[in-house]
Amino acid sequence: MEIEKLVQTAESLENIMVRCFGPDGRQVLFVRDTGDILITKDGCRILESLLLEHPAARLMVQCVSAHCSLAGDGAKSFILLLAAMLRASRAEIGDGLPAYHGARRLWLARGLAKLVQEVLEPVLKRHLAPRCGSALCLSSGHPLLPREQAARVLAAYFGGKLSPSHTPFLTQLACDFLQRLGDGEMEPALNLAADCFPGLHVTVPGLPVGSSRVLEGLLLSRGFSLLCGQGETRVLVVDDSLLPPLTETGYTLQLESPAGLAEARDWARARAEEALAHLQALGVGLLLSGPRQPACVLELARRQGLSVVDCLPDEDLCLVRRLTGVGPLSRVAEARPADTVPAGFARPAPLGTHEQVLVGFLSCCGLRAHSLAVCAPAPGLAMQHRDAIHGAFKLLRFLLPRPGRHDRERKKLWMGDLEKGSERQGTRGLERESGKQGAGNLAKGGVRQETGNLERGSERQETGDLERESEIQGIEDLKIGSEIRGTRDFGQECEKQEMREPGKAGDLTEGRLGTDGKGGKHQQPGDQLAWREPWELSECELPAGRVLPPGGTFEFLMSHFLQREAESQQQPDVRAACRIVADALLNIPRHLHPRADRGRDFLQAHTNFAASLREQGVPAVVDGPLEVVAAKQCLLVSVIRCLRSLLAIDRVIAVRGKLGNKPLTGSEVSE
Amino acid sequence: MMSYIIPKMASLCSSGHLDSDVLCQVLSTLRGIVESCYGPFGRLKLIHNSVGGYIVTTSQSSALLGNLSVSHPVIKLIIASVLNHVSRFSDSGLFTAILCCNLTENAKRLNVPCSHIVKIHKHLLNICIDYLTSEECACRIQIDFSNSKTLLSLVRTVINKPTCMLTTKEADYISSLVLKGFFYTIPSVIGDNISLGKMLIVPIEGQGATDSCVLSGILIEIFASYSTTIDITKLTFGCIKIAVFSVSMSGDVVDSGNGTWEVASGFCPEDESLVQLLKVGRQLVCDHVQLVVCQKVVHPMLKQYLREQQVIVEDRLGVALMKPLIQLTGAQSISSYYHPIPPDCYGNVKNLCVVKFGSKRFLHLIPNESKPVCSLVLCNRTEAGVNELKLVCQSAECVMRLVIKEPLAVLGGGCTETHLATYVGHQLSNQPCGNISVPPERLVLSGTVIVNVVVQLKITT
Repeated sequence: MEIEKLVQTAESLENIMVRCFGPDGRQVLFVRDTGDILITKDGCRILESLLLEHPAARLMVQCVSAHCSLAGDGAKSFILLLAAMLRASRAEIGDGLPAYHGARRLWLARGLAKLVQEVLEPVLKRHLAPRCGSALCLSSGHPLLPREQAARVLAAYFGGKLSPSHTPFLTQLACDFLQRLGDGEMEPALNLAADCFPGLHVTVPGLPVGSSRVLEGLLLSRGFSLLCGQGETRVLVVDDSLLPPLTETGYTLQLESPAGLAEARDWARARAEEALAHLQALGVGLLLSGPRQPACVLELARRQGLSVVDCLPDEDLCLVRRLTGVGPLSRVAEARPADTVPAGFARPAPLGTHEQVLVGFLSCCGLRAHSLAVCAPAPGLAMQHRDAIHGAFKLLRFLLPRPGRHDRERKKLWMGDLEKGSERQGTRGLERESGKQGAGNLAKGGVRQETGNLERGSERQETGDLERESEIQGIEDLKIGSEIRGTRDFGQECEKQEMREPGKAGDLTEGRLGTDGKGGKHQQPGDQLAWREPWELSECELPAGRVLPPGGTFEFLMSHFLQREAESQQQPDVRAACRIVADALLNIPRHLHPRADRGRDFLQAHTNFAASLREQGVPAVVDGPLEVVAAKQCLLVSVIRCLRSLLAIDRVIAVRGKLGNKPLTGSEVSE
Repeated sequence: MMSYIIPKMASLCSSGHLDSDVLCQVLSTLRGIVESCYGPFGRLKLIHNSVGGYIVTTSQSSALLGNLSVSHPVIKLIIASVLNHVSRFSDSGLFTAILCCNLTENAKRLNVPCSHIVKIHKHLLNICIDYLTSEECACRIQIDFSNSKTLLSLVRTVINKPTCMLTTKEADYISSLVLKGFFYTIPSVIGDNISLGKMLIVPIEGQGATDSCVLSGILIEIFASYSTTIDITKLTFGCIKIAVFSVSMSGDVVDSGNGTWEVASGFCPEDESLVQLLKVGRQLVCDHVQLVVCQKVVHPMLKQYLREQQVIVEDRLGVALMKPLIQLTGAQSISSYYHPIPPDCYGNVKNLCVVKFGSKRFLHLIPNESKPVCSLVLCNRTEAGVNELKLVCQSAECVMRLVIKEPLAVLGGGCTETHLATYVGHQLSNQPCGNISVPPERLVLSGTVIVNVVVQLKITT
């Protein structure tokens, strides 16, 4: 695949994107032959709606979708950056023989990989972080995200995604929702809202946008099959029918006479009656059920005054589990009081096009069930608002410290109390082992694998550089959130080895024995992430909650530092990569300014920036909208990854048959 | 058929603004269509397709806009929003469409950037809403529920659609029927959980509109002739026992599970079901049930048996009738026939009679005490007329429900619109800037445009 062709493809996508880029961007209108229309400003949606012929374009869109589903934002910037990077790479590769081209492209791809692994993090940490403001404030050891800061971040985000008239309202709405879902605080709710937003909202077409609001209670996607009272009650979740089926798979019902059949029916009904009597004894007033409950169970339940919601999808049951900590039960007769959950109310939801139920679970683990009703005049617009709000939660999540940080702080305190060095070493070993088990990475029995790792680890020790690289690789992967377990394990093992090195052989045995004895006990959620601990000590991580004013500040700064890095860099391939990325970053502010006098405004902004940098002025983050640096970093890494895969492709093969979603294809595409 | 299949093609992108001239032209066409339908003297539209077949005569916004096939995307957007509005509020779709077209058309004609227009419209909308919700609003009327005159005129406003081809007298009559029907749906006993009852609309074509009526209770259409063979006068007056089944009584074996059945030769599970059904039938006869209704199908053998025992059987009622039926009779729907029916499941009605409207015959269930369920029989000459009348009555009922929620109304006949336009104009001349960052002369300019739009509306009404 020629680089020229790649540039062309990316530029045609870029041409579409620039029109709706930035707060002054316009909307794009899609018309289908069937008559459907779509008006949107959301980059990801635009790209996914396009029917693209060129395979490279489809690959780009695939990368953008993957990035957006993770970060919730940045589709348009992605394409702008990618196009600019491809242009810069074309210049870097230059003219020459085709054979030379291929080698050169691979060389560049390697340089880009090294850039991500070695240069990006230190630059961010050392140069950029001091110039950022922080959106978090620390109170009693816990980082807090003040509402006002979150609102400023969201104002910038919605401005780029929706028409300006709804921005302030949706910002308010999203903040309100988070605060109420988290029972006053935003942080606990953020993860839930980002992961499970589809289950926490309802879209209501036909009402003005201003009618959107936060509803108290969890919205279930089905209506009441039986409604017998809406007051305070206890809730039980089941995933099986209360009426046992006459036969089950693998069993045979032998019938000789009509009486036998009647008997079997009577038996099943008696079981259902028993189950319902047990529920009544437990004080359960609302039954949530995964499968459909037969009419006969509903009739029995009505006599007992038990409300029933059945045919609930798995997502709803999962959500109930996350909100209350209670999972579905299959054998009702064995239900204990601990399996039931108190709820303030259960009533039909007031809005929505089809029947739904609102269950007011009481607050639990810092979460209080709330749902969001997203209203808009037309269904398409309501869906866009819904997606934008979902993306907002994903974006805000970047502000929070990544998992592991808390543990480190806590553990530092704890370890400070320990006196003896050897003891500490032992405990540390144990900690790590248990953490590993908690994360579910330990596949086989402890001892043998342990020694195996050790050997591998010591081999690595010989090449110190390699180990560092793998460590950084691990961090990067974590940040991107990709599930490359292997790399993670690898990094972890190396870390472990590093930590152990100063200790003696005896410590090692102690640690291992400790694991064998106690490993099973450390299954608490906090400990699950303990394995990340050593990385926290590394110097090259960006502190959480960093923000910058929008309008190209991040890009100017990053471009500036990367250019400086390029000058001081020893390796030629990394130097070329730095130049490419630094150059491409400027493409973003270039398109941020209004189209008519873009050139002049951009130069003006660049000059201003250079002036303020000379005076060492830290950008003011007193008021106005904000951008999340961690999200920008994630975007940059995603774009570079996409560019690397584009550069590494040398041939396009067209096949007939359908390309399935085989695991093999997936790995080929990603690298 | 082949012409509908279009090969998949790469997307075609064209840049640039939507063409103002073309847009203005299509907007004015749409406006022309909806404007001429609006108001008591509005005209009907005949919608057809060139292939032939079914045609639609209407002036209702939902029917009209739903059937239009348009190509311009902006018009599609407007129509989609209006239809969504109508699906939720059921009324004033034409008004919304006209206002929308006028605003867009006039905004396009002004030489003001779009982003400013959005801000200006938002500002003006806030002025209007603030005024309409404030106490000092002069065109607002508090609805007095003790006075049926206001309520009647409210219903009359909705009924007054040209499509139904009603004379003034007929429209008055239908309005009073709808209001009467609505009063029936208000429960007389107020408990903890107040919910309005149900007004079932039964459309009958071929009769004059004055044959319409409101009946307390439910009408069940009779298809077969045998029901009349039972002498209704023989039934005990005052308390007729009813059993309501929601389970299919066809005798099929259900809930058989995932496993296999091993059945001895000569024994058929369906027979066992039938035995059970007949057992239930015997119990019904013993319990002196006089009417059996079933949502689904009843086995012919059971039907035959019950009929011989002078029990009336009606099946295939459909799920829509079940809820009002249970509400009306106080029965509980029976969902299993494998077990004896508990006696508290039966409901009762005061009386049964067969009523005839046109060619259709109905079994009329008259409730014992006042239950919030009634049937509105709507007659009109043609099928289109009946459908139109049905839509109109439904939206009138919906309006009444909204009124109960919030008992406020505004003056009709264009008074409110004129008043509001004057108010907005006055506000703008007093404090043109407001708090938005738009050059003041532009604000005033588009403000007057809106005033003009609203005044125009008044003229058309």
